Amino acid sequence: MKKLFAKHNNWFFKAGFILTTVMVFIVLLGQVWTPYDPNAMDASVKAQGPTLRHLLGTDFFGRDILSRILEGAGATLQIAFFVVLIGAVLGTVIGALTGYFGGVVDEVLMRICDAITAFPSVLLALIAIAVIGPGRLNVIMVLGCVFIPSFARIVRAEFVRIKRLNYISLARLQGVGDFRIMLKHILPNTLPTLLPAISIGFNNAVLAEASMSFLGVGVSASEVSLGRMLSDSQNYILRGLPWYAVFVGLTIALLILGFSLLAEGLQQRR
Amino acid sequence: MNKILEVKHVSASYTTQGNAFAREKVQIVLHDVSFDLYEGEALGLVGESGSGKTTVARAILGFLPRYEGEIIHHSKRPQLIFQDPYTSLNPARTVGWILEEPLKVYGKFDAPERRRRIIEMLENVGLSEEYMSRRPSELSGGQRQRVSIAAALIVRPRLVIADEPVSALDVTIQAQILQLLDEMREKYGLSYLFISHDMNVVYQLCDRVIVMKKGVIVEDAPIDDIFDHPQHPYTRELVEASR
Ligand SMILES: Nc1ncnc2c1ncn2[C@@H]1O[C@H](COP(=O)(O)OP(=O)(O)OP(=O)(O)O)[C@@H](O)[C@H]1O
Ligand SMILES: [Mg+2]
Repeated sequence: MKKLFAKHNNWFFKAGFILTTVMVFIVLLGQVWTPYDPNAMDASVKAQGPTLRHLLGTDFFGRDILSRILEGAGATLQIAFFVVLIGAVLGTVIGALTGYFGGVVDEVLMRICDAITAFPSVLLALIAIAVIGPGRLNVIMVLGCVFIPSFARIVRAEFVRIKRLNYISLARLQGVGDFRIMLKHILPNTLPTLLPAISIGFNNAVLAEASMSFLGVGVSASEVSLGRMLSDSQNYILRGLPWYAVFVGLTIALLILGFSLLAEGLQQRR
Repeated sequence: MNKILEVKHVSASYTTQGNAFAREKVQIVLHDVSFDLYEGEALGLVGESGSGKTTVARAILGFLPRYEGEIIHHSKRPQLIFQDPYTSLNPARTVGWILEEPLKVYGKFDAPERRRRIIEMLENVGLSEEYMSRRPSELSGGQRQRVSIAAALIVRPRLVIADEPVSALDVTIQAQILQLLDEMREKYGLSYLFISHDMNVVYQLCDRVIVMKKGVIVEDAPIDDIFDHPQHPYTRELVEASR
């Protein structure tokens, strides 16, 4: 951690780190404590704007929007986390193997990656969800798979570059085996490229979940997520109650702003 | 004296890939190269840039995918010291890690023994124990080359190939590193194949010299003969240039 700060002593990194930490902390806090039960209805406070009792107002059912945003953001971040985990881990494994060994498998896998990335990722995910049905787990699996190629490509390029360097030739002469070279000698050197990619991955995953749930093919109707809420909030705009959409939109914006700043900061040295 | 390496009739070529504008070209880089290297000997390999010196080293170490002829090793795990001290050490790791890795892979030593050997080797190359926690980016070119030598020697090889190990260094540092290589040869009974384009540098370290021109060995003689009565005009040229 200290090393990261020393290496990326720039404002993008600091701002991104602070914003992301604060947002994640608030969302995590929301998992154990919310001002109100996110599902508790209160007929006396239906569809209100921000008040002292309900800081971000209430919806048509009198549910507290702050509490619901906390819960929804929790779901969105959870989805994003597993999507990035699947994409980054499998992408790294595939990129490392193909980049290091090359050959026919490399050719085939990279053409498949090209084919997948030729489509917009949300479109691809939409088609897949249309086939296997909505729901949190399905969204995670589909988006996770859609995210694999971009990570695979980045990691592959790094492995191709680094495996030719002199210190890798020397490790081989010293008798270090292929898998140990990949894991202990090359992988740590891909981190300067991989960390920003992971940060951008979070950014894209939050957006992808929001887009999909907004279009009604994300989490199921009974669940809350930021995308789901953004979709619901349209009805409020039509009835002259814009604050619901504003607060949900702001939450999404702050989350992805944090991740983007972090990615930018990680890419810049100093 | 026993041979530690035999290079027999080795020829090699690089194929440059053709494209829409250029045909595929085959460039012969080594042509019927033969020499022996004896135990404890420091053999110089000199020649101008592009004469194929590095290709010889690559063939010997198994980094050349294809070549004709035969290379016979009489020792295990020959090691290499590169010219560029900036690309031969893993930038993500500390000096201690870099030196410990081959010992770990070898698997026969416990942690205290590994540490003892690392410290001993660092002292050998003139660096103290504190350098274990340093990263390559925190070292000077000369210090890096010392670490490279330590990393090569820690696996206790009997043959070390050094490809222009001092060319990237200042003249004063050059002398120190050459001195160090000479001490290590004495201490561990090493054989060197020492690649250089500089006759003066070769003179300081080597017993015998092979002169290569355009992939062909034009002269192979003891160092004094090379300087006193060079046979080939090209050797004469190199010796003249170094005076
Ligand atoms: N990977 C490669 N692909 C194609 N040609 C190569 C490759 N490596 C070297 N060559 C060519 O082979 C010839 C010999 O190269 P080599 O590196 O062995 O020379 P050298 O004597 O080590 O030169 P220097 O003193 O500059 O290091 C050169 O003409 C070079 O252009
Ligand atoms: Mg060379």
